[in-house]
Amino acid sequence: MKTDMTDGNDTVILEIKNLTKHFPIYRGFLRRIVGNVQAVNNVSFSVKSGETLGIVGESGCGKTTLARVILRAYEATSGEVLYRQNGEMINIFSLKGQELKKLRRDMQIIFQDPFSSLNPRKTVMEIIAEPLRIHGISRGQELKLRVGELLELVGLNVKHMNRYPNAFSGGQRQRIGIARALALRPKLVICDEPVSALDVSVQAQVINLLEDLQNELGLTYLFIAHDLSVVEHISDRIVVMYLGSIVEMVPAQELYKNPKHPYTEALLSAVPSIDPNTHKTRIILPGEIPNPSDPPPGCKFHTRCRYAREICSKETPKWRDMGNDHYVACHLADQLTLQGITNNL
Amino acid sequence: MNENEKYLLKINNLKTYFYTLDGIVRAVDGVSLTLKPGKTMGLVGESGCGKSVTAHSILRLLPLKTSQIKEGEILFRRRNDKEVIDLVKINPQGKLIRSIRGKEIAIIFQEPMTSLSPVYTVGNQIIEAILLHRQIEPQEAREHAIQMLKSVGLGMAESMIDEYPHRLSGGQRQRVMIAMALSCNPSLLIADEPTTALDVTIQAQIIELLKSLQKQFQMAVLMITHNLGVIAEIADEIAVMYLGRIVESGSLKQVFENPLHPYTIGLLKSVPIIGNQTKKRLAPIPGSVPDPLSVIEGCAFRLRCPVYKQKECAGQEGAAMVEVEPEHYVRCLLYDRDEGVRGNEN
Repeated sequence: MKTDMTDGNDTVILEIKNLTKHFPIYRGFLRRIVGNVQAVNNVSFSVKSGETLGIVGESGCGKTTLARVILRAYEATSGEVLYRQNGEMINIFSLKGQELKKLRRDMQIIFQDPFSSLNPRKTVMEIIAEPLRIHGISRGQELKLRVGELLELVGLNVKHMNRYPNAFSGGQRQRIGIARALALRPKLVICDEPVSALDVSVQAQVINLLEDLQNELGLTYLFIAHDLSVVEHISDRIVVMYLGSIVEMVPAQELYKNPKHPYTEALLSAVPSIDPNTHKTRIILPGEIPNPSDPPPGCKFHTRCRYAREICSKETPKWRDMGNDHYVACHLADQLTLQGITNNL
Repeated sequence: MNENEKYLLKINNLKTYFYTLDGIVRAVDGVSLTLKPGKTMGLVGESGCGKSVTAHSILRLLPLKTSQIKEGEILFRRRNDKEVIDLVKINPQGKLIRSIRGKEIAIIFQEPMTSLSPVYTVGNQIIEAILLHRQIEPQEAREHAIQMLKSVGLGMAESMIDEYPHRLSGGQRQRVMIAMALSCNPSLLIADEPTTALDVTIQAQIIELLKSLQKQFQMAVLMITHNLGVIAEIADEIAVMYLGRIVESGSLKQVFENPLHPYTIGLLKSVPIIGNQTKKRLAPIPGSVPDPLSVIEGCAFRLRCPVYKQKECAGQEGAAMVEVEPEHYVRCLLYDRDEGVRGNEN
């Protein structure tokens, strides 16, 4: 398989600038807009070619919405998404028709639930061949060969091509989903919680498969998950989201050693550890995630933050560069010493 | 101390089978467990290994038409008269089990979204449980319900008691479930994946809550989960299940620090550990859990086992439970020898 490395390693493949997505709330007979669910708020980051960027956050923090806006499954409220095609950064939101269709070949998605994301009335062959047919890439015998090739790539038996999804286990179904996403030889694959529905032993198989495929095909991943240990394992850099905004962006090794945002610290301390000897002081966040249609003023996290000061409820914190590719949005970033995970291995 | 005084619940060689159109599913196939009063037992395993069926067998909540407890006994020590009864022998719809369910053995289910009725208020549902088991006035029951809601950390209990479940978040609903389960002060709480549907920070809240309530109410907890991290946080003892059988059991420390069964070793290795070297390859267990309808002779794990593939593993009954060190049992032929310990170099 040909690896597309002409872009070099540090080129930005995807750039997101001030992206915002609000879902209007309609009420009453006249369906007036009475408010907005601020799912994604002023988010900016960039993804380098060949890397894995992890996005973590709890449910409702906007990670899936972000993925769908990037794929143009939802139209953004404002902001831009730039994607590198033939050496040029093009604005995805300005594309239409054929151009957009061409772009979609480059960007694919793997879904969370391997049970509802495969059509039960289609055979594996039909499921994987569908993107190839739609984009007119291959047909007939060639199509069959390509599907067989893809099945082999993800570690499934080619003979099972004519079976229906119900004949496969969760892990195998997820492999079918991966084969479908890779059918068009994409450059960027968005993995939306690809392993959270799987059993522990199978989860490791799929993570390894994703890593192998990345090395083999030079893929760039946007890896969305709520499980910090999985994200930390697979990612080069990690973006932490809270209530529609990015609170911290950091290289993976830095995240657990040296968190800079109180929310990241709390998230890390909440992850249950399989080592019964580590007795970390657990930070229990009080309360729940606020309503995204009525987020708190200032820093959105101040209502649950144990370090919160007066300024936190008044001013929105700025995005600060802490050096070493580490960015954080917190007023107190250089005053706090936060506790990461110390590993005694 | 008398041997019989020790346990609260003792399951001996339990076999629960389901009769489906496609054949017999041996969901639980010879499980033995002992729960001590006031302790937490963690039952770990992947989906389909029979951990929930074990829990439902204890409470006799299994569907009557399609399932049957084929063999075994579930000995449970009643609270007041210290009498021991066999839950397998009693009528699953009778008065006796109904006086135990909810009162002496309570259960929290996985899905906080579906296990509360949407058409009754939170208060109605908790008060119902209290009135069923106690001869008290409704007003008193309501006060008790408010008390319970407060003790699970729901601040505005007075107003929350009249809310419908859809107004609550996932974490709040799980707290309500816990309040309901504890309202009759059970001596055994079965928690069936209580945190699986919740976010990590909420999961941490619930784990801490369960720990403190356990101390306060002096109850035993049977914690069922597939999440090894959650088990490590909460359990005193662990039993690892695979395909309807317990393959390893022991104290938390024994099982996590010195796992013996290849399945336990595989499970522990396949979990990424946060803070550990990134980009180190994970070591997954090959293959997947076999079809529940298939009958596997001998050791059920041998088809995926990296260590041992010889014919002995395939022989009839497979290995028996062997005590490798005090209170640490394993069901594997590797240890079923005179010398005992082998393959310990993991």
